[in-house]
Amino acid sequence: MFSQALLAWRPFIDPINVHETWFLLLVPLALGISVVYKAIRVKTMDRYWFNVLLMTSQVVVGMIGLAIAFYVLVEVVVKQAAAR
Amino acid sequence: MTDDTNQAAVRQEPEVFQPMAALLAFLLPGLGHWYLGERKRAVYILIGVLGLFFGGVFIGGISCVDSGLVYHNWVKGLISKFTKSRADLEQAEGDPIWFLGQAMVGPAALATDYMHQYHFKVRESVQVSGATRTVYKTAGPNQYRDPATGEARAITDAATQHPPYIKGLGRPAELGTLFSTIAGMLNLMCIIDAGFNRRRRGVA
Repeated sequence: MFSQALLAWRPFIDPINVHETWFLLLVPLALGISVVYKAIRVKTMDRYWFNVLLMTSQVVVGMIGLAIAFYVLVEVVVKQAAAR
Repeated sequence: MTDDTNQAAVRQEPEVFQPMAALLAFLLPGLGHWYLGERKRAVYILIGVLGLFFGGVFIGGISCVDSGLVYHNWVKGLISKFTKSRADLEQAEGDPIWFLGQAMVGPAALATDYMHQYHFKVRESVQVSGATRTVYKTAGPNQYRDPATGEARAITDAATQHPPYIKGLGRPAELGTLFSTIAGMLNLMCIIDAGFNRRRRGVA
């Protein structure tokens, strides 16, 4: 009965299944933040979309960098420190 | 007038609070900037804020916008103090702290929360120190919402009866809440920007 209810997914009412791919949602999140932030931040709208895409890529690259740094910290540095 | 001369002239203008622009920005994201004549910015703010908010609801489902009726009860309590009448408080499970951020999206968030509390949750009457209190909660996976009374009923026919919604759990719930709360926080920035618009920028 529960599985039948899950199959009948209703958009905007039931959650989507992103348990395995949730990290991909970082890109639309960064894009949405950039669209609004740059809309009130830029002085002129001439290079608006360039600024939006630049900020989006900076956020995404920054998050990937942080993820790599924490991965190294947890998987390498902490393990080596624990082994000593 | 070139951008430079425009900006130079604008910098000399005193900062003036524009309450109408701030109010309009709260009523609909971007409307404050539209009112100020910055129409391109207004459209981008509208798309960005509502895109993030409804994107969050799409990811986490309607359960990611949940005031838990806390603020609703505050207002009811305040009114009852002034009218010196007894407030019929309602109770619900929810995320009132996150809803503070989401509410900054404006009536769209308030309407979504209203729908969630009163049209998707099931209601139950309980006795609390002699008074009847209505409790709103998420229906279980084997329950449906009686459309007439709003109470939970056990599902007997799976083809026609189903839970009003599936509560988001784990990452979808976290991300849905995050998207919709960030939308509210960004709109708060837009409200402040519209209210204290110093015209330092060239008009779009």
